Amino acid sequence: MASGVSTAAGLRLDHVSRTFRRSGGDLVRAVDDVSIDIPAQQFVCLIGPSGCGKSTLLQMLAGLQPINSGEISMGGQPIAGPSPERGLVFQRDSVFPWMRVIDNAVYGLASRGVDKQTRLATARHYLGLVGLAQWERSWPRELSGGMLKRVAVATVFANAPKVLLLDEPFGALDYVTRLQLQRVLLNLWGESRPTVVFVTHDVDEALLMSDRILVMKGGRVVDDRQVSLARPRVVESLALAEAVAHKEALLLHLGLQDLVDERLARV
Amino acid sequence: MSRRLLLRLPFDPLGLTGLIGLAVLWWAITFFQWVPTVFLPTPEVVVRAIGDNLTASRYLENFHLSKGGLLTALIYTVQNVVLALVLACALGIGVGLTSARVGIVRSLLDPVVMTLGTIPILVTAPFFLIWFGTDRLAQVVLLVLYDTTLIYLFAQRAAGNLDPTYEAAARTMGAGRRKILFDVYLKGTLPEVFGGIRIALAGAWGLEAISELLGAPDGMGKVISALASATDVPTIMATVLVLATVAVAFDAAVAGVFGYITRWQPEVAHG
Repeated sequence: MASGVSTAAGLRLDHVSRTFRRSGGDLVRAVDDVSIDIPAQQFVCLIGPSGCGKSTLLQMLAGLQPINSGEISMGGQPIAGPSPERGLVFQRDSVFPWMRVIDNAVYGLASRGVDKQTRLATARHYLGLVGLAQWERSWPRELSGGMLKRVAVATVFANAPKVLLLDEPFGALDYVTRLQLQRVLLNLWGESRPTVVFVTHDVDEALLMSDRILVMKGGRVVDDRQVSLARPRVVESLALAEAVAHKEALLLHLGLQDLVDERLARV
Repeated sequence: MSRRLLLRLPFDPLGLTGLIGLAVLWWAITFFQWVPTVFLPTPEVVVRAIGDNLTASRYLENFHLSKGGLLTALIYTVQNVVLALVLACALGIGVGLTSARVGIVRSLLDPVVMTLGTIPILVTAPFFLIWFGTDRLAQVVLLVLYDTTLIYLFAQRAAGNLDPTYEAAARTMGAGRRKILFDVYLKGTLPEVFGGIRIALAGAWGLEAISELLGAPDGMGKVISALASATDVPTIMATVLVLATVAVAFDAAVAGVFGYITRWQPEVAHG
């Protein structure tokens, strides 16, 4: 079996901006002069209120949105357009409904010209790791929302990206499925350790998964927090003092002052 | 028969009841002579006319029609319909999908296709007769024009309706433009495009027959035109019945093939 293990690469964003013109004609700065260094293999969560620019920034990292000014580089090389080196798990379903699960899982490898035997072995390896070994001949319509996300995650990992980008991938899933998929993702990340940028609304999810949390507001990065909680993390880890401190700060950023005040009053 | 199998059938079994009802009504009208049989012959007479003229018919030869009876005429008609459909699929799907993705192609072609779509297609038939004579080419070009217009519009609309996430996903996985066009746009739009092809096919039979009526070396329309001059209502009805049966069978077969190719689609819940 050809392993999907690849050398992770760091990301560097240097004064990156992106503006949109609204239908009314006025300009909106979705991403405003953002500069970040993300070392290789780091698991970063991007968090912020709706419309803060985090998904736009992720799309720019993926090469799907142009950069108006500044530069994004990966491993020292400026990025220009999408690349299989930067795999993306979308918020919406991106699994092709007209292809069986296995054909979806091999798609990236086939696009890169990997031979049939290798790509099948690789795809089966990752489908096994996400618990879908028995479903490889199924059509996506036969799978639940959580299973489709597993296919999307397996497909991206099978393509051996140096950087993995995830745009609120588990946002539409129920609580239990979300926890299961978080674990699946962390297990896969532990195997090949690509650099991860994970966009989420969920503070707990960010705390359970990341090494670092970047908070965005109004297109800018307004906080940069290192999370040094020991791994593996479990739901109880969220009750540790460091997690609670991060959570209060993050909730304040998200505009939930009342929740923080209530907790402080109880203490 | 299981509900699942029923949903996968290319036709509604209840539709058969409608056809049988129509046949019974026809029989009743002629049996009770509500309409004189000179205008509406009995089913038995029409079926006999089919049997007498299907494979070889001295009677039809008297009208300077081909020696092989209705079957030879039918083959000519079917060949034209299928040939035109294949050409229109290649043209309509290719250009329709491209126009959905490339703005300049859409801007250039949309007004042309819209204009073609609003002109009653039969109005153009005399031009094809003048340009191509009564050759097969005149009928095929007319059908290609009609089929392509429909398939182009369906393909363009289907590509526009396709979730752009699929293209973005393919791009981030390393797929090139041609692979995206084939794996995402072509495969993802097939259900809607197939709907357009079936509509084009349904109209093509009638259009082919009428264009043969206007002037053709062979075909079912040519047979009807010749028999109309002799006011032979039973054989005209036999010809129409054979053509209608083949058209229905063809549509059922095409629907079956299309249903198999797009079996990945979620099953539609029927109330």
